[in-house]
Amino acid sequence: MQGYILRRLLGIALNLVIVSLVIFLALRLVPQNVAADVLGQNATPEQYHAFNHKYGLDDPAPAQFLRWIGGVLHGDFGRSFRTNARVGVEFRRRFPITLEVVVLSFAFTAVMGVVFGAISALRQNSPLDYGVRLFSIFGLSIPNFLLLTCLLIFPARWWGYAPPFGATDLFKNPSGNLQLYVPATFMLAIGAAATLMRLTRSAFLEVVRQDYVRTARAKGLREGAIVLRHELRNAMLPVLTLMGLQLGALLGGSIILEQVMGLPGLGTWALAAIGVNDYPVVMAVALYAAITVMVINLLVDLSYVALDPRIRLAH
Amino acid sequence: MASATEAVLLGARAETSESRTLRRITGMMRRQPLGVFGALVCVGFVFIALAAPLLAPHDPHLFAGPRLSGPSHAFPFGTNNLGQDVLARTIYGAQVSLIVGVASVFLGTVIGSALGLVAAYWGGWIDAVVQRSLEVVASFPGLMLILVVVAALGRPSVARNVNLLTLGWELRVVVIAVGLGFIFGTTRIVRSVALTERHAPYVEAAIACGAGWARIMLRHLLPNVMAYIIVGVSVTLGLAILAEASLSFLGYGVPPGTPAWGTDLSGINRQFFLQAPWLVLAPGGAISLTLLGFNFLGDALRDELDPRLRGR
Repeated sequence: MQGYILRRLLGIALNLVIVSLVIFLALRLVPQNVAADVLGQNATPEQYHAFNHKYGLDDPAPAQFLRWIGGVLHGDFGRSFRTNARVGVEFRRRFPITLEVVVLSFAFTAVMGVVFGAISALRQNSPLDYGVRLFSIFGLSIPNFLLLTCLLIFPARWWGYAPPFGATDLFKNPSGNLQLYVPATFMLAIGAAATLMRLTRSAFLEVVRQDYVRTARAKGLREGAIVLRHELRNAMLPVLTLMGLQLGALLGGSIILEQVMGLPGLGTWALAAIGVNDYPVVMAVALYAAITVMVINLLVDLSYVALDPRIRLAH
Repeated sequence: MASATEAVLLGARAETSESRTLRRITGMMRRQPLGVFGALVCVGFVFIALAAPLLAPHDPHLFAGPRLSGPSHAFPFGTNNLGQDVLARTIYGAQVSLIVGVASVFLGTVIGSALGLVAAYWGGWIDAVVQRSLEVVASFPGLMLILVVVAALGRPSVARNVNLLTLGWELRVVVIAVGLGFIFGTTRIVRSVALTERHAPYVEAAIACGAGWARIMLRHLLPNVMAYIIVGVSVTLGLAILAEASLSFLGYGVPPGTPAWGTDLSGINRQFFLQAPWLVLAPGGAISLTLLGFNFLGDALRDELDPRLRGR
């Protein structure tokens, strides 16, 4: 087990080097005049020179990459071209906002998806089942940016209500913060929950027809024990895989949510940085996203073993 | 028993292939009423995109009436802050969705299927290289990957609706960015199905008969994975349309000013949503209805074609 985890972590480290090399090369695929973007068209050639020298943009690309990797290994992600702020410092400031968005939306997704998906399968072809299926197909079809936009506009039109936009700090202003985050993250979760409901429903439908469920019922187990210990546990494998993918995808969804709600998180930061070729910022956020996705994949694989003793880790 | 089977086989043979296809389709339509609804919505969407210049009552780029006037007889969906007809912009918006959706799904499916077949057929280090490079692509959350690709290739500049092909060429960066995300999923499915077929007796028989690799891939493996590819395409088309709209919504897809559903929901327009909610409802309703159609159609096709669900 430890050996497996160690090998997977080494694999992740190797993958990260490749990922960062790919992003590094991709961002330099089309030569962009970063200095002109930042300093404007009226700067003198000397100013361009000084700018390029300051950020090491006049070095050959391999040297730039090695310096960047070296810095990252020391916890230094460089400075933003645009604001000259330390990327690491800014990252720590913005991270809690994105974290809260992702955690809340994921919680809504997981709870709604699994609970309604399971109920829908256990009461197959009941009005409740049709309701869940209808909700999920509509939830899949309405884009999250549209739901979030409607969330801003219609309460404002009907009741003159606006959420407290400034309350981005959970600990300074808990009630305002939740007023801002909970409805928005719920909207973001609808699409993902719809997908998860459908998968949970079909996974459950598969499981409830299995012999061991009939056996469990025949030996007189309580219905609750059958659902939780026999059905849920066996239906969870595909559900967990999808949940892992959705948790990663929520990092993308967070960009949209932050943009609509005007939250100063990692998403809006990366979005603005992409527009002005602020490479150190783009690299840091992309690397962070890649690490998160890979660690989630590892956790999902490990949870398979915990859930199903028949699965052995490959050696 | 034998004669009964024979009679069935002879009967099937006597039937022309066209009438058999027709019967299969009518059977599908009877079983999947929601799928028929979805197909009608999709056909309507394609028709509106192709016939936009004939259907739109006004030029979507030009001043047509008073600014921000509500839905009326002359402007059924109202006008925006530039006095442009929202109905015309919504109709023209279908063009961007259609061209980016179809082109990116085509790109992702063709490259993904080819990689999947190659990886399954040759195996060994080729398979390993394909798998590892796709893992790199898959380690970005979808939208992040699309944004990085757009950042790398440069945003599309000005897209004027001259015709659909020119528009598609102008938006090639968006097409590549969206399509790249679909390669991974397609490759994974095609590879896993082709792997199980790879060592089937009929493939070995074909090899024994001296068939080359191209023949085996295209004539033997491809038809067997086709059902999976078709199901994948129908689901992916909706995702592609959604991805383009999200990208345009974030301001990195279609350039501002171009009529597109995602763009019309973003940027300067947002300042007027509160006083003019029809600006949200028209493009928002159009994209939701289109996605609903593709989802219903995709579900029906999956139920009918996906071999894994057969016999349930």
